[in-house]
Amino acid sequence: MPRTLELPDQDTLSRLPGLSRRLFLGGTGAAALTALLAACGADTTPATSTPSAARAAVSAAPKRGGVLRVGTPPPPTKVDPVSMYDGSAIAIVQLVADYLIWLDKDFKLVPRLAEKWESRDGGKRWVFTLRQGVKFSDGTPLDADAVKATFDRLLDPKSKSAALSAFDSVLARGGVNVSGPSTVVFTLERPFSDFPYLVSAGNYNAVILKKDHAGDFTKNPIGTGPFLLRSYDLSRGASLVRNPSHWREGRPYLDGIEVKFYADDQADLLALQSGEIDAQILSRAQLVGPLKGAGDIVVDQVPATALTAFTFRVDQPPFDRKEVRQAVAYALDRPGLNATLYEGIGALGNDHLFAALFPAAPADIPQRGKDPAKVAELLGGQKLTFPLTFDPPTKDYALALQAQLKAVGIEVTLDQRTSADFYGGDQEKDTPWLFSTANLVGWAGRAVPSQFIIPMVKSGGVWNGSKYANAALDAAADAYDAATTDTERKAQAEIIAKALNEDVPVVISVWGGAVRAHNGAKFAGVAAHPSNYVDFSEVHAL
Amino acid sequence: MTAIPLPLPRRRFGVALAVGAALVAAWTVVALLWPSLAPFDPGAQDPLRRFAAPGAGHLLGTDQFGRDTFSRMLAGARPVLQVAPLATVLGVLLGTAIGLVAGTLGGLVDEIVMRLLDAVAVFPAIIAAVLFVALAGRSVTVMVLVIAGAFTPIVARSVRAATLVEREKPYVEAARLRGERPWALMGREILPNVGTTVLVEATSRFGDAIFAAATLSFLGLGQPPGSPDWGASVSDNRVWLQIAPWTVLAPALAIASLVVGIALVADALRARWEAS
Repeated sequence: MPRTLELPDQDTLSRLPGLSRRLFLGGTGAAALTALLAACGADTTPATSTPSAARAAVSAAPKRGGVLRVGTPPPPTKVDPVSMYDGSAIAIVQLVADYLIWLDKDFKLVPRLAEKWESRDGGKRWVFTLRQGVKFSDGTPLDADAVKATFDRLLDPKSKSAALSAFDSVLARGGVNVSGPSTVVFTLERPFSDFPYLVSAGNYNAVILKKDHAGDFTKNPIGTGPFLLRSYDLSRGASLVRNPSHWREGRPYLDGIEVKFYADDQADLLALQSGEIDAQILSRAQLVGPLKGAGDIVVDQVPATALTAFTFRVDQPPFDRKEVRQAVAYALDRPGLNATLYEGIGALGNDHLFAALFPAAPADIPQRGKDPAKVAELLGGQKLTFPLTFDPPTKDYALALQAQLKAVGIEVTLDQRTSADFYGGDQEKDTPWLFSTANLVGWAGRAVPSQFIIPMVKSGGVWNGSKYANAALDAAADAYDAATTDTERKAQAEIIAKALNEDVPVVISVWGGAVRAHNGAKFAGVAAHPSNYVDFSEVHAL
Repeated sequence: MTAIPLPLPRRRFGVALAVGAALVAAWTVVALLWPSLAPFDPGAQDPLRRFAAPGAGHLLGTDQFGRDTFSRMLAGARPVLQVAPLATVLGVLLGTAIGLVAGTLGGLVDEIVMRLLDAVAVFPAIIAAVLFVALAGRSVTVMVLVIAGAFTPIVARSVRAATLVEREKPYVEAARLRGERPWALMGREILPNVGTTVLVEATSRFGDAIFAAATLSFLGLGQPPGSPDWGASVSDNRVWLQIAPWTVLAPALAIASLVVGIALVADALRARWEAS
């Protein structure tokens, strides 16, 4: 998506909160260099399946063998675990390397290279015990030194890793220590009860590499993952074979994976339909949605925590009045936005930053819906006209908003910028995405709500484009991070959510969803993931 | 009275001219009157009717926002017919002036002008357009200037070539001997005799201008977001080609029909001029 002419440069990318599907981890879980985490979301809703999926589900016990051919866009940057941020590069690395903890599609933390972990000192120190007997693909045993080196590497400012932002104000360089060959101790800057999420796949750069990893991953692809990278060619794709010494007994089932690069969405889809590939890595809901139930194509879907923030400058007219912001929020047809922009797979937002997937999400705030009478009452006869600034990835959202607001008499002039322009400029004084009257910013999914709240709406937050400041919310956000019980966390979450829902510095109309399509007649176990991550160790041929 | 059949070529050209003129006239009328002709507001969205197939209710179906494709196709005629004629006129005027001057004066002036035009001609028009839009922003004026700028060297070359031929003819020599100044020579003597070339260029360039305007919009360099412009519509909807081909076919066929119409008119006129 003409978007190719408008990419921000690397420095700009390092300041983005979220990304578009192909360049930046997908419609659901993209994250620019600085994206805190391409987190994951999912709920307990069963994945959507087709008759083919049902056939697959009742198939016999998994059989070994077979090569899965998958399609994905070519990575726009190097496949480098430390600095990667696009969905294709992350997927290739995730096939070869592993995390301390995997983030499952239902937001559960699944032990991988870490067997267990526990907090000390009220959540300020975290002790991780590594799994025994794990070896890197070159035969080197996994030990605590490798884990420490991995996180020291990510915490190095020179790394330009998105993980650096994820650890901001939580974990600093020097905070990772070894306590025996299989024990790693993280000493935090402040208590952070969700810290395990930050060392999980939710922080996608946190794959464990060898202590002496020196870069150039495609030439020295050493990891502990289920597959070995045999070849990589940016013009064609990648070839992987089963890791015979993978620590998970009997996994993977597949003999190998062939990754094919398609620069065009349509070509990727046609390849799936024609049988040239068996699965997609970064499926697009609007394209594959209509294929549900057609032939052998199975479309798995999960909820996610990616969002597009419709931000208002609360410190200047016309949005310095809370009633005006609320009027806009009441003007929106959220189910319509979900249908138009997410093929209906998203979940309705309620103008706060707790997706239903987050365990602490408050359930007693009434869902905001379209209410033209309320809009008129809140505006009190005021004629509202404002410019909406955005970049190409959110163009459809802008068009939908413009039409919906026009229907209640609110005039929106569209101010589309190139991505380079939108995210360019000085973050302290004039960059459009942080200083325009109203704007749209795509945010990657996050594993924990604090990673939205702290930068986006806390007073002085680094990406607080609304300039919203609320001392009560700030205090609740700090208390939320330090909370050690679910009850306490929920209480603080309710304070934060109610403040945002009432004050509306940002409109959160829909939480995104994620899909993944594959040929259900040939393979089973290809599942969608909220951040488009891949775990093909359970995939097997039928 | 029995009609005497026209010679076949002339009749063929007559039919071509009629068909072409009808197509151009029809789209011109649509461009002017679409608000009265379109059954729906081309910007009105209906999430419940997304990707509706052509049929009852929506003659040419709907797009991803549930917007009526037929209404958008009608409304899309206006942007392209705002840009193309203006760009053609401007490009032909500039090109004719430059070609006349270079061809009539000859010598060093001709050399300098033609080398400059060579330099402009070899610079890729799309890159020039991107740069221009980046500097000046998106607007109808910018599109007109970009397209006219691309056409000017082409027209200038043709007019110069025709001028070089005319310049050697006795009537020009006679005018020179009468002491006519170069500007009068160009305006009074040569221009009327290269008029056919100019008109042929104008009709050919008009068709090209339609394509150029659609191309700029396709690349996102033309109309603002949400515009029903044909080129922008093809670009916006091509990703849905499998799901809703009508969203691409309708604007694409609209562009094709207008360009074909103009080409038919241009060919017929050219043939008549050549015959005469």
